[in-house]
Amino acid sequence: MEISSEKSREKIKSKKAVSPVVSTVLLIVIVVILAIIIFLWARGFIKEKVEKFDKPIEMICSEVNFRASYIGGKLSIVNRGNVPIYNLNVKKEKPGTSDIISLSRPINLGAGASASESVPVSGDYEKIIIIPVLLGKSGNKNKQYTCPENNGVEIEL
Amino acid sequence: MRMNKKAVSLMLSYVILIVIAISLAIGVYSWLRLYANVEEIDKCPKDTALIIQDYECSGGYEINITVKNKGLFNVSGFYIRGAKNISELAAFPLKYSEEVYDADGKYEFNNPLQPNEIHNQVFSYIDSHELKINGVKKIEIEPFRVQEDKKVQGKTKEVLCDLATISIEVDC
Repeated sequence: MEISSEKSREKIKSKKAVSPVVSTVLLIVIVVILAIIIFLWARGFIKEKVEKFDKPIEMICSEVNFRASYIGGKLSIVNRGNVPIYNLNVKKEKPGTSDIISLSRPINLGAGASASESVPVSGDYEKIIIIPVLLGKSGNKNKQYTCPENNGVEIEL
Repeated sequence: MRMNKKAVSLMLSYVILIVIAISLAIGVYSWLRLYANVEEIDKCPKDTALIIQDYECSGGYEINITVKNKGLFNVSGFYIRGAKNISELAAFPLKYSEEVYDADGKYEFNNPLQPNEIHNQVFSYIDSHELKINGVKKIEIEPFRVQEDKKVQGKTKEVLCDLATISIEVDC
């Protein structure tokens, strides 16, 4: 019995190991390096978010304020708010079907500005919904964002 | 009894735990940074009011407007638009000078209009084919203020006062 306990004591003494100080430093270095790698990788996804006025562009849609009218095939629009409107989508609706058309070129309606565009609506549609499209930033690029339909203006035909 | 169960070593488990915690913290911070920005877009003070006190139709597609500041705050200017019909949206901008091109109907006072102050200006609708043919039946003005930009110190910003927009029936 004495011989086996002596042997095990010798075995423990001869095992090499890292000192606690070195192991702590290694641990911290590994963690920091891994965190940096994951951050750089995840940054690519986060930057996809479209921003406007330093906020998510979805939050800006509720600040859009405009009036629109549609007479004789002509759409008139007045931007009464402080958010510039880049473009418009026109959603035509009738029971059972709807269709969305975009203007041929961006309307670029600044705050306080007004414009008129010819928008033919053929077919027996009952109403149109004018949906604003904003221009935001995603990283260094400009990106369009179509606001939800409830931020649009409904016009009965 | 000797256990045969395999497991991750203690050192490795600490590393994994800390990496997950830091990654989650960074992810939540980045995402929340945008949504936690609850500062509102600059708005016009509630008691801003500009009225059209009087108007006079001049010949040559012009209209003489007298405005008065009926509110409690200075007004820097206003956007003026006309309509050919009282029930229609006023979407045709008027302009105050032949030299001004594509001004969107914007008129800025030389000095901000103080409360109870009156200002008179002639506007033209010569550029609007529809108004020239049908005449002007409605005038709408939307005041704006030049205010300090909350985000950039020392910078000013034009803020439209949508709630103070008024319109009157005219016959020019």
